[in-house]
Amino acid sequence: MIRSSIFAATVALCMGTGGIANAADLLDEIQERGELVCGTLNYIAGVGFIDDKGEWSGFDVDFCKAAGAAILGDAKKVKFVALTGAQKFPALQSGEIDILSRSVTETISRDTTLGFSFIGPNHMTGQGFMVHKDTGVTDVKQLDGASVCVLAGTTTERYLADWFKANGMSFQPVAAENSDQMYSMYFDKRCDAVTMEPPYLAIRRARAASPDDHVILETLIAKSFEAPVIREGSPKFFKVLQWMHYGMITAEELGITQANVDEVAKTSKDPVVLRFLGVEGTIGADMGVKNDWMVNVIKTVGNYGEFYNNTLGKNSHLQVPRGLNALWRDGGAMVAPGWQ
Amino acid sequence: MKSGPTYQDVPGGVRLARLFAQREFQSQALFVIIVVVLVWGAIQVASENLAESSGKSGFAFLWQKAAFELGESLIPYSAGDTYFMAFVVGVLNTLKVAALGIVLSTFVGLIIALGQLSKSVVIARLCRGYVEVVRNVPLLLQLLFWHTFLLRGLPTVRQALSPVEGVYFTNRGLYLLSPVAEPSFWVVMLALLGGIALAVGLRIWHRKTNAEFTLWPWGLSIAILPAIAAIYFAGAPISWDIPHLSGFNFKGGLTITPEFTAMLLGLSLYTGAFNAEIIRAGILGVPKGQVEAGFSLGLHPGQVMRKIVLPQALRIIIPPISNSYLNLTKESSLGVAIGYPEVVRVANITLAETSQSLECVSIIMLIYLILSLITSMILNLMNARTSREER
Repeated sequence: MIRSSIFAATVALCMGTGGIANAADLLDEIQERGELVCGTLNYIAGVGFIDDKGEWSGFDVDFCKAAGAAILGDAKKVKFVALTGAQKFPALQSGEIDILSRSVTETISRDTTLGFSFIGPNHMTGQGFMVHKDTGVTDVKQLDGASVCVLAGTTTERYLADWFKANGMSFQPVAAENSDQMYSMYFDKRCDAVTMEPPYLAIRRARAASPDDHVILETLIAKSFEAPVIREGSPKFFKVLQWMHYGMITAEELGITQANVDEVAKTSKDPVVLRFLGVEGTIGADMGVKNDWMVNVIKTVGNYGEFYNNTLGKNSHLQVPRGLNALWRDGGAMVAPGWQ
Repeated sequence: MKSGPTYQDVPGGVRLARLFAQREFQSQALFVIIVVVLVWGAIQVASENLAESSGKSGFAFLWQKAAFELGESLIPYSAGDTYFMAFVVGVLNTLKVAALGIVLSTFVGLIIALGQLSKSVVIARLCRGYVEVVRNVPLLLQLLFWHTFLLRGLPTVRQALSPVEGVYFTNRGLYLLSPVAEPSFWVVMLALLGGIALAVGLRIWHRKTNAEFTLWPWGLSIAILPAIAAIYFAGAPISWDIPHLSGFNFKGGLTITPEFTAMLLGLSLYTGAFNAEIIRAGILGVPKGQVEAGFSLGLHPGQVMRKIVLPQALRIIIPPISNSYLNLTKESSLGVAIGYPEVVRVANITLAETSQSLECVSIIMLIYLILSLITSMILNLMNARTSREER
């Protein structure tokens, strides 16, 4: 009697844990749950950071807050999960998180083989080098034979090897487990150069004992277009996030800001603006969110320009220029299709 | 003497039937079945979920090209070789630091153990203090300490410290001159082997004729003379590859990276503290009468230790010290924290590149399992040799 019940329990255990329910679109599931789970990082101020009061902030964090505002109407209904580089993809694949917004570089292999969908890209940068000034290096081509500090398990490690190989040059890799360790090894001259996206290099140089002793080389050896990413198979969820990204760009084009969004919604006579803010038409409702969802997004993080400047750009302590992340009409690469 | 039918006399089928009837056997069999079902179920669930979430699994990725460099390697490796080769490099680096660490930690342990048993109070207290401090500080912190110490404490490449020509201490590693075989290397080796063979042959022949043939000076001279002649005629068998500053780094010679040094120091000193206690316990476990007997035979303290105490202590030491060696091997995985390219570092970067996390983790587990089994097999053999037949 006891024996057979043990067996039955075993079988039930195996059956019960089998498979993730995959039938419904994640958008419906999140709305039913009333919570959006966002994988991000917690140790780089301006990108993903949790302060001593438990407040999350930064570019990657704000994207999730905007998504919470778009889908649930409330940025506070987002639960953040801090992930290491090695954890980030398994966490997304296993369903532990809904969105991974953690400065993930979009590449073809990640997009096509892992079962992921990338949104955006919403942050365009590249891979560069910072070198000690006393090495006399002014161009990346002079780095043949150099020791290069690199962050283990990132795309930078791969691009570094690819680029040196393609140019018939050699280098000594010095791998670090986390970025603090990497920069500390660089400043101790364990390596001649350190490779990372230039905005992050600039942050560290600004904090160095003598910033003038370090040069950030102009040439980028690879582009690095970072994008939030979700699991494949939830078309409604994907469309909402993709158009939320376009919407933030559109808001900047239309001159709608965090401060004036309510005012514009009340007073504007422009049919494009009215459609965009959900005063007219049913675009939002047809997508499965509230019709005024973009109003919530803009109230939460602002338009794309505000979103960027408040976290990475000129209103933040990082002061990273917009560069490619400026609107297309200002010479950048941020574009959005029409809101018709 | 007449007795009833023994167990062996009963036919096989009946024996089996009796076995099945035993309650003991039934419960054991049931336990095995439950374990098998659980494991099978877990594998099924995992593979189903994997198939759903990522679409690809399996170990085929091992034959794809790996696009990363590893800092140091015992075999030629560069970006563009397969992931499999990268794993081989990682395993070899793990083995390198584990093997040297085992040897060094044993020496550290022996010295500290003897120090603790020393009659000098100062030495005994110092060694006791070493054990208490080192084994109570987490190994990870010690590794980070040694790594930082080597990076901050040693000069940069351009201000390299050079005590003698061809040896440079820098915070990018210790650069040493390394021997390189010249064309005459094999000629000289052959001559040396011939000389040794001749000397051994002569000794055997002389023993038969009962003539005096001592190793020194005759045996040694006969063994070495042909080699000296070969060097005279064919030239020096080896030359030295001297490291020299070229561009950013030293080129040539032998490089010992600070990551490796930090690993070796950290592992040896930490495990050495545990080994010291094991060895001390072993020495104290030898009955006092043995030592007294040794002294009464007129042996001096060193001889008593070497010839009487240590061989007997070895019996007590080997089983617990095998555990300590196994721990050292497994703890070498902490090297990932300071960027030493051992097997976990290779697995982590492969995981990041291919996202085949389950496969990479199971490869590491399998590798450590195999390494541990090999280590314990060797030590079990040693244990079997040294353990005394109990009477």
